[in-house]
Amino acid sequence: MKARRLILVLQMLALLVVGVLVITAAGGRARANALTSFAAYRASWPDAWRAPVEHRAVEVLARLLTSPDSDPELVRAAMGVMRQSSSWAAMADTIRSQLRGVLDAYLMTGDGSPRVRIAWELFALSQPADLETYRERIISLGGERASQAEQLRKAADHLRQAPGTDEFDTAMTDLTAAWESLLAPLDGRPLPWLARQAPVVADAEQLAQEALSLQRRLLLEPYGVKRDAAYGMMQPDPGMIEWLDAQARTVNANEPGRRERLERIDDLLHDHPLDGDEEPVVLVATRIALRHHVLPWPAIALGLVVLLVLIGGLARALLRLRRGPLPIDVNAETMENVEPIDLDTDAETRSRSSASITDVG
Amino acid sequence: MQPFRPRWPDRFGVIVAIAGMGVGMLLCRPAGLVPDGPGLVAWVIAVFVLAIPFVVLELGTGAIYQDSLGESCRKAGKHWELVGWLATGAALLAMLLLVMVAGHLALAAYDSVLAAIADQPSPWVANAADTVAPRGGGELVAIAAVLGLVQFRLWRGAPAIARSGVVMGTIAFTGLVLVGGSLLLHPGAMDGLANLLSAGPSGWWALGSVEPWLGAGIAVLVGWACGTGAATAYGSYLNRSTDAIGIGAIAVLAGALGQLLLLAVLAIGSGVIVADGSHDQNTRLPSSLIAVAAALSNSGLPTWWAGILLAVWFIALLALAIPALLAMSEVLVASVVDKFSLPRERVVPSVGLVLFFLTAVLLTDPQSATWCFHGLLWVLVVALVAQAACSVVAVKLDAVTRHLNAYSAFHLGWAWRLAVAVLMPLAAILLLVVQSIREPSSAITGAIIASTVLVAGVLLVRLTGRKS
Repeated sequence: MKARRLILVLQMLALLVVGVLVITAAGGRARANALTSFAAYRASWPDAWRAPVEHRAVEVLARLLTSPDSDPELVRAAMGVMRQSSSWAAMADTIRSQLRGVLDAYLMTGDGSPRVRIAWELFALSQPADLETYRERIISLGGERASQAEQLRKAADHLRQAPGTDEFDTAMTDLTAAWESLLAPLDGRPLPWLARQAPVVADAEQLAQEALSLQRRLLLEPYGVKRDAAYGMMQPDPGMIEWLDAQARTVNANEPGRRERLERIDDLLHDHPLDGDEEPVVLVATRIALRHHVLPWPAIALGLVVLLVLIGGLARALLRLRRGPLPIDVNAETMENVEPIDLDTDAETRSRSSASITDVG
Repeated sequence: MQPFRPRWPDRFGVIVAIAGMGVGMLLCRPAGLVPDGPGLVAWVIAVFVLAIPFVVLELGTGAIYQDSLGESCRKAGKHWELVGWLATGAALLAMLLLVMVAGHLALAAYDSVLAAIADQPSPWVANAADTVAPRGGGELVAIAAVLGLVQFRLWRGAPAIARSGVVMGTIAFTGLVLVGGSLLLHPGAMDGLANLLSAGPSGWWALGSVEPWLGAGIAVLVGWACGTGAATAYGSYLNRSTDAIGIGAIAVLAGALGQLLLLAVLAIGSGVIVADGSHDQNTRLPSSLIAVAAALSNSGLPTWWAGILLAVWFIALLALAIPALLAMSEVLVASVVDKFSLPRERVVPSVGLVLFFLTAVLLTDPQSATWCFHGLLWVLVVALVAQAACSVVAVKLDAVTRHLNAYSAFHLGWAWRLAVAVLMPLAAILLLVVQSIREPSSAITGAIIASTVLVAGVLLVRLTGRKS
């Protein structure tokens, strides 16, 4: 009877698992098919071929608009289809109102998310008549930032022309402050992404990035990177990496301040990366120049403390374990005589060696 | 309970088995293994505050009741048996994750050996597509081999598990030291270590944020709480008068040192700057493991030596995974054996076959490791909360404390009861809430899997076992 019940439950479980797996596999296959179709799509196809793929793309976009983070690869592929599709403008009516709803909600609350950006991108693709109106409304959410952009522009010029250490430090401090001020929330509203693409802000940010990039090149010169050289997308080979490493050891030992300045620039560029791919040689040279050749003392201290805590705890536990059980409290009870638990066990239960002491009286 | 319950050969055996489980379980986590300084501090605190109390509770429960978690809880109260089946569900998910990783590791080790023998570049060398990179295609064969080894060691019970733990621990330690030592002299190695031991971009103030604690919570949950049920099963092979407190504390601390060694090697590997970041994109291994392989392949070592070191690296990782695989399998086997009083020799191969076919199906889905991990987090949290509730309401922590203290060189007090009854479930729930807020889609997947495990657990509880 028991075995039959077990088999029954196992069969039910197996059925459940198979059902879940089939549904999952079907979903996965549908997704894979959609991805393949979207990748193969060409605008020059005959209508009979294009229409089903475009309909599928519209369905995907409409469904994923509510949760774009769930499958960004599929969203991107569907958008790729829509970008090529000549009939997108006509088909977009089916989801345009939904897109407007998302954008209106954003304009009301100012609460930006990846969903809003995707909605905007789709909205722009559909080329509605009120596209520019929406763009201006979104940009205006961030408030007037011309003066902050001007400050950043000035700070970038200052940094570009800063030759000495003191001037560099001041210029970097000014640039960081100006950038923070430009991006800081105004009246409780952060700068919308579209406002960062507007010419006033985008130009200022680009100037600042270029100034940082120039200073990085200047600082890297002693490490072996030439100021005006164009390395292209060439990857450094192991020999070059070894040479850059040897250079970095010498330069960092002689000029520790140079490394610190480079680190400040790298941190800022990390927060505001340059558009387009930076040359790999420059990136690797920066990483090598900033590399620790010996562990800094706080890191050594932390490592020692962690090891001391773990090994100390282990040693203490081992020593105490070897010493044997603590003297037993006369009131101590073991689970054998603690009711109401029924232990229901056949295991051999050893009584305590000090049971006689406990039992006294 | 099994009529002839196997026993550990000595204390060292059970300590090595539990410590090995803790280190190997880290391989379950797909990404983000290596923390920074604040994360490391949070991890050490979590080891003392959460992991040690939890393992002591588990071992103690097993030692006192001499049964698997489900049967132990059933003895405390009939309906609490569900706790054991939830833990078994978590173990099944962890096992599937581990089997997939171990299969890929075995295959990677095989590829590396081939590359070393042929004196040709390994698959992890830069631009591998342009070079001759011998690759095996037999993931299923590798998984079958790993599962075969695990089942072969498992059916003999605790003594064989202990011996396997010692052998695998020695192999893993030697391999990690060899690989870490080889990479330590390469440019960037110190940078990797500095990243592990220094405050990140946010400085030490990051300890006030949720990030380091979330990472430490997941590391402890996956490393030690996946042993929900494993430590109880292991504890049931101890005598009731064993010092479970001391053994649990020593096992966790030894495992934490092993985890630290693994993290240090991973940090060193990720710090070494290689010529090109375009490593083998087809691999399904976690990126942190691949970083070390890429460092070994691309740092200018002779091809044959790089191949040997790569093989050592993957074999060391495989050796780390084996004790964890044994522990998770033991949860499944002990639950079935104790519930239905079936012979261990019949249950072990059945479990192995089921795992093999499930893994074979999962391999067809590239995202399976990700959703398995999300499901594991959810099921673990539910199981932990249920176990804490069972320990407080049915088993009675006071009674357990008195029993364990009577045979121990240590003394459990209010701090332990607080950790088990309040901190552990609270940390688990908070972790789940934060994780769900950050990744809502993964939360849905996890919740669905947890519901399925819950339903399956209820069905199994309703089955009448031999001892009811």
